[in-house]
Amino acid sequence: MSPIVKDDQVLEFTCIVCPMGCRLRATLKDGKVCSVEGNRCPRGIVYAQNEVEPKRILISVVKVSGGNLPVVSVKTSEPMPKEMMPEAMRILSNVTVQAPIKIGQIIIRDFLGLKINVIATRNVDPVQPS
Amino acid sequence: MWENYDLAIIGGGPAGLASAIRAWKMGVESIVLLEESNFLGGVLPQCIHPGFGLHYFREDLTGPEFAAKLLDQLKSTGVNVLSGSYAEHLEVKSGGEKEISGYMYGRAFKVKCKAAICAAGCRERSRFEVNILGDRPVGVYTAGEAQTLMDMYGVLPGSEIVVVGSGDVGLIMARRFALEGADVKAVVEVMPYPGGLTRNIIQCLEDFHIPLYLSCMVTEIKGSRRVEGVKIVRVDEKLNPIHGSENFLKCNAVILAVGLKPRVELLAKAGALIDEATGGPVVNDWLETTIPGVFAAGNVLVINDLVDYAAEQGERAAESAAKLIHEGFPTFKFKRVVLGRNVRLIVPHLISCAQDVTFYGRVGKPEENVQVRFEEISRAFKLPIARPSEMFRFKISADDLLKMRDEKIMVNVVKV
Ligand code: SF4
Repeated sequence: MSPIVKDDQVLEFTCIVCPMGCRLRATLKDGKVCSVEGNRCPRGIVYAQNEVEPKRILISVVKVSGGNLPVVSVKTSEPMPKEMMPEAMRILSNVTVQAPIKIGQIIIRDFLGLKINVIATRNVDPVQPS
Repeated sequence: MWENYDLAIIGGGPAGLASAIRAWKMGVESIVLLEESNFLGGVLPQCIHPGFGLHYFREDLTGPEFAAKLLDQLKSTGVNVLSGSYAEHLEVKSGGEKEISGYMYGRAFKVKCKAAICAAGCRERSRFEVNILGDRPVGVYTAGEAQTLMDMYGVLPGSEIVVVGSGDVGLIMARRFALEGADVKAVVEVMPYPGGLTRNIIQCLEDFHIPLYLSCMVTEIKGSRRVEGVKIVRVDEKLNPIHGSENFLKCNAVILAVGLKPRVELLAKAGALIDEATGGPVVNDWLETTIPGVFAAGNVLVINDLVDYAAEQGERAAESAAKLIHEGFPTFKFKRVVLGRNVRLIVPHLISCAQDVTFYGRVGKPEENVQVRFEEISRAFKLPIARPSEMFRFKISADDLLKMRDEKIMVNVVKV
């Protein structure tokens, strides 16, 4: 979740690494996590460090022309910054790919200049000429 | 005309595919896989989010990727896939041979087999099973239908959406709608706690600022042609509506994620005993139903949290079927697994104590710092957080089970 900014120095969020769901309080110094409280194990610290700039895998569908399905499911090859997702979705909604599409095929290279790719997660065959 | 096989598998979802592949590897050479739709993979192709396969493939995959991996493995087998074939009847003949009949693209088909694995999956509950009354306008979908529309065909089911049910399915769909630009008005949950995993509450709802209404119930859908809104009411601890707490929420689509039910019709008609707690068949530790030689795996057996578990059960059932086909089953004296304190369900129901057993179960109500105890053999497993929505899975070795003198084994969830 978006960390709740208590003041410039302290962020609060829930660790989701395991089902314990610890409430974490991370203290920041120069934008970096310098201490974490509330974690029941060390994985919570790593989680807090990453969550200062949260990243997620983005999944969506993009339009296909000439395929046996009208859209193909896609994902980013790596997690991407959460706050760039609306922009990413805008770009994806304007993309059309030509069938056939193979699973793992790169749909967009170096997406948003992030050095990650958008890749297809399913095969789409061309429509059979009837 | 009958076609003869050693093994027939009903259902081409993850459990059915995993069992077909495993049975082939175990040396069963004559296998038919009956799939009612015209594609394989079951629900996987439409589940485009990641989170599948961490146990089974040790990789984080999306649903279609998980399915593609299984299909790749299936290709190198000689399994005969009959797609478009709906199995309607299963009958056991005097010699123990099974006959399965049904329809294939409108024409009758029949197969005979020595062993059968039912991996027919589950279905979604409808609005009428959760007493949502009112009009019947356009715009009411189950989560699975909405997912098919959106992620197979690229159609958003509405622009202002109310999701009923906060299980993982409901939460994941709420995020998909929000990502695709819909205004998700609320996720409505009748229980006082969310049904899904904490990580999904955070990554699906809080990430997208979607409100979660706990202890609330949708009682009515309004709309003459298209959905215009829903009536929501607060409920008390006994889940009874609180008078005067009604509210109207405007929306143009209602998505129902109100639970899944094993599709046991085929098994029940054939005479298999059904467990009320799981909704699936009663099975022993070979995953054999009460019909000898008929096994069950995946969501028809018990609603699983993870596709990995469904695939694992598929393999288990295939190993049992292979044993039956190759060498026959010895006669076992089975011991009963009894549900004790705060255990809502557990499979398998009967154990032979002749092999290691993987138990899958759920608690009845949320608790913290508890143990799942298998009393008669003094084995206990820690459960720091126990939630009805999170399945527990424990493996107990044959050595431990052999210690058992009693006729039953009681499973309790108790505070430590
Ligand atoms: S801090 Fe450790 S124990 Fe707490 S939720 Fe995170 S991983 Fe689990």
